[in-house]
Amino acid sequence: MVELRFYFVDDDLASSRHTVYLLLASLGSAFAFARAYAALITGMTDGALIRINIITTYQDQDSPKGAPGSDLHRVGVFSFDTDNTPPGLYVLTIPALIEAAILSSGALAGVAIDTTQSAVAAFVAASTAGGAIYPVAPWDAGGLAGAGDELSYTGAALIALRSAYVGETP
Amino acid sequence: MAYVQGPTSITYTFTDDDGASSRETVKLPLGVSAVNIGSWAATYAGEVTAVSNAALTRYSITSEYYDDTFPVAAPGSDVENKGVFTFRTANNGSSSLTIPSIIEAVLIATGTRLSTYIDLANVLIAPVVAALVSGINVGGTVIAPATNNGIDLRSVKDAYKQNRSSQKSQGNRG
Repeated sequence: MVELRFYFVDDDLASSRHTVYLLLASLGSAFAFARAYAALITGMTDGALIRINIITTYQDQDSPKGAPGSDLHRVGVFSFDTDNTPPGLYVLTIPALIEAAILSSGALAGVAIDTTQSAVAAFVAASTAGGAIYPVAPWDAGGLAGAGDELSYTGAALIALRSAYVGETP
Repeated sequence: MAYVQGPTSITYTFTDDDGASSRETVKLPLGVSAVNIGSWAATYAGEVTAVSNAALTRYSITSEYYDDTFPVAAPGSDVENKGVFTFRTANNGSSSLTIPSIIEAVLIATGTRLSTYIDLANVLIAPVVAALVSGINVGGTVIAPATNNGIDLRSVKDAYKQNRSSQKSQGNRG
């Protein structure tokens, strides 16, 4: 299922959205449909269409539950340096962190995450720049430039893990 | 207008053994192709679930496109004046959608339905209804919208103008 959200503003800058759903459309064909459909609906409104979001959702039809004892409030907090100058910090949290990822000895036992643990190391590697595709912090590498900044949006790459520890969230 | 790709967000939703749910969102830089976004999201899902003992129940990819001409709404436009379209669906149900700030010119101009109901024969309305019911040909493939449960829209049951609340002061375009 693909969800198309069309965002309009009026002359007071109040916003509202129009939503339609498509079955089994690829992102490319969904965008082509969205552009053609946008040309039709803009004729019947005097609001301004400013943005289209295309949302593709993948759902596990078996509705799985977590492992016995899993607790979403017990999270792994991973702080990454970003490629700003000076570097920013961006945090990714992992709900229900596995026990095997937590240091079991030393002064930081039970608090810090073992970054040499295989699953942790793989997650950190996948989260930092280096591969062809990598996640980014939602701000520009050069810093925010103010109004119209979306035009120059690049996202700031996560370049290195700064810290990783266990946290509790409400 | 020219639509420019903005940030892509991927939101992973987890469930623990109590049935509580939690989400984590990551963003991708510009310029990643649709195919690569999909494969990266699936691969990263594997990395994330390996460090969590919650179950990953779903993930959503949101690709954003914005109009880089930054269009301005017409004076007097009001997104709370909505065109409400209710459709009959293929399973004999109904489904509604709304168009914000519908223009007066598409409303019925005479008779008892004066200025309240939408003229389905209007030259601006008929193509939209056709697109929703019969679809749009995109590169040789007809794509037709459905309800959020995947049920086809069949015909218009009702179409009228109604004032409904919307978010205020949320029109920041960056």
